[in-house]
Amino acid sequence: MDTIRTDVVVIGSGFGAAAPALRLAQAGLRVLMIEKGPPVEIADFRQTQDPKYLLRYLKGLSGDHLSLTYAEALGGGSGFYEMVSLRAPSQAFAQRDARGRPLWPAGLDRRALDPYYDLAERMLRVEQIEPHQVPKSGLVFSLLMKNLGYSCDRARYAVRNCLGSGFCVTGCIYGAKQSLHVNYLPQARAAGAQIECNLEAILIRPTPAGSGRPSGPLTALPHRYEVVCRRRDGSRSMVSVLAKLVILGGGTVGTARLLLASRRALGGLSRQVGRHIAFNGSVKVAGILPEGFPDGDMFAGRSHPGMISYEFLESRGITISAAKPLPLQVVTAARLRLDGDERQPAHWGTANVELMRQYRHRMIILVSFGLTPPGGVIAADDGQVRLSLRLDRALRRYYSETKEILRDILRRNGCRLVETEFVDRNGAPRDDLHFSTAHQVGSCRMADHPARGVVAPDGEVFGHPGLYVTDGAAIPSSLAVNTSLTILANAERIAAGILERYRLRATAAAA
Amino acid sequence: MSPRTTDHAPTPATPLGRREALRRLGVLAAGLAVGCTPLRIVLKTYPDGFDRDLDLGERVLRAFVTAVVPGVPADDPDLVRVFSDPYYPFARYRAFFASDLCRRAEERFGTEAFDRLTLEQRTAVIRDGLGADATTRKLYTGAVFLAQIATYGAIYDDARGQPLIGFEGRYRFRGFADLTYPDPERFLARSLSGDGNPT
Repeated sequence: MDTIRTDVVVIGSGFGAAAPALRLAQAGLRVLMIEKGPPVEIADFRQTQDPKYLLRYLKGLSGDHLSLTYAEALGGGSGFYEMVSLRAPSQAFAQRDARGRPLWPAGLDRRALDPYYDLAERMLRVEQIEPHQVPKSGLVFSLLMKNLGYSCDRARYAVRNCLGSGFCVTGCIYGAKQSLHVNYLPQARAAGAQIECNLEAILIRPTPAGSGRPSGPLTALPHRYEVVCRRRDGSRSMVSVLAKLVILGGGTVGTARLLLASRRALGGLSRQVGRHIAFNGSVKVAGILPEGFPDGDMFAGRSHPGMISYEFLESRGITISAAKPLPLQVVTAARLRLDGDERQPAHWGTANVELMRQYRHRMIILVSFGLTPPGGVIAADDGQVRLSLRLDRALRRYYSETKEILRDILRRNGCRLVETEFVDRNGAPRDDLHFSTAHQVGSCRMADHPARGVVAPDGEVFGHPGLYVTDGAAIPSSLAVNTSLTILANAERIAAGILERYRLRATAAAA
Repeated sequence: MSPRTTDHAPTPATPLGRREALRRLGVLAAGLAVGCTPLRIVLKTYPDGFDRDLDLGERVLRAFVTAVVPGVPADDPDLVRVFSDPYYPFARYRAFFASDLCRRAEERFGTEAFDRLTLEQRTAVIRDGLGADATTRKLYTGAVFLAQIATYGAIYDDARGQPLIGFEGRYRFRGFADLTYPDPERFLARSLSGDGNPT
């Protein structure tokens, strides 16, 4: 087994991993970033719906009542997300659990994160979309809200010189999307970080030298952890990485999976690993625009339609936007049937084709994200991970009430509703309520106490000095908006804390 | 009822030797991994013409796809490619599935020539399969699903897209005016935030 010695090993290369990799490399530390997935650069992206291409980078974990989608590739989800970059609302940080206890650690709220949001926005060059850039579908959604006296805001995106191809979710071939491939990752490399892809961390264990809680400058510390890795490039060879600091940034699924696999080696790990997964409770409805209403062209403009409504955030804890999925995304997500159309078969054949022919110009899809409680669980069993979500009465009520709000918006605008029956990966209809999301967070959440979470507010795993979680796994609650900017801001905050703790300084270039 | 036709002439099922049958039953036991494989698939007790005569299977599957997505051009070169694409597990059931469509066509309409049935007749046959036992339902559900994915997603031709639904495939820039409306202010509702972020 090859052995690599380094100051810092960062596991993962997405939003939660990139910030600490960059900041610690800029501080002069030897940083090794390892990514389980394949390398992918802008030149590799394609405008296609070919599942062979998409599934090379995008993975899923499906279980009882909940499905998660995530990326395994260099840059993590940043290569494939819709570029929406929003700060979490203040309400998100004020959420409490069923027993009335705060979900977020004391003192960690929107105000505390704002300086790191500022930094993350500068790095990703986030800006609010200009009115003349809002895609037709977003304008039509805004008109639906306006007609009812509701508010609607232009959203914010990490993009420069967008051409509006509509293929954000398959990777931006123009390099307009400000994914990590154009900022954090090249800057980390320039600062000396090494990045290795197709290298999977499968176990973390403390080294004998790492016992206790040594103090002093980081460079004087022993290598405290061994990360056992396996190459995924065909050789399947094993690599041992010895590191003084270990940063877990492999995402909500990846980080939980790794810590669960390392539970025996990392004695005293919190029992909360894998629990409390929040999922932004997304609810979707569709309708056909009434005659005379402008065309909401589904295939024009960026993947996200540009507008978001905070109208129901305070009263119902939800945000609403439109969606413009590619045809493949529609077909693989749901069976569609026009309300009142009793023809059989409904989800294929003539009736379905007639509906799909209206998809581009006449269909509108509304999506809501909500402050749903963190009820998802990832458990490991014989090396396999299982996902589940306990559906209680409150969650069912949330779903039906939110769906009714969305349907009401469509109905009162004269839209004809489209019934949606969500399907599994084999195309069979779900037999019960099922949430699907790419906004999962919280499997190793921050907390004030190990009985309630896995990591301290500074990101360090309780009882394991030098072992940090900096990705979505650490975020304790649903956010009601896309999660990427909050994950990045929190990772910047934790990285700043590490620099301060070990009295490290960023280089002049970084400053 | 449609007249019986014989030009498909699938050859009768090949009898299995005892040893071979036992071997295949062993595969079946292990084969739960592929999900309730129908016995007839594993034992291959369907006409082997569907395995040998690729044109026969192709004709039947083209008739299937044009019933699932009516209006799609029947001569599309990629129309049934997904069913034999080894990337998808369905490929191993392709021949059986084609044979089952013909068998059901025979049962319902007295002809094995599924591809010669009218759209309504083919629809009825497919609905029969979707309403059959759980294993067959799974197979037919998967076939419908794959047909829709391949057709609507235009997964084998990024450049062409799917004209049936106005999907133009790979992006061709036609100017920014094409993406939005010239008078966005007419559409915009009041804003709750100063900069797009929630408070």
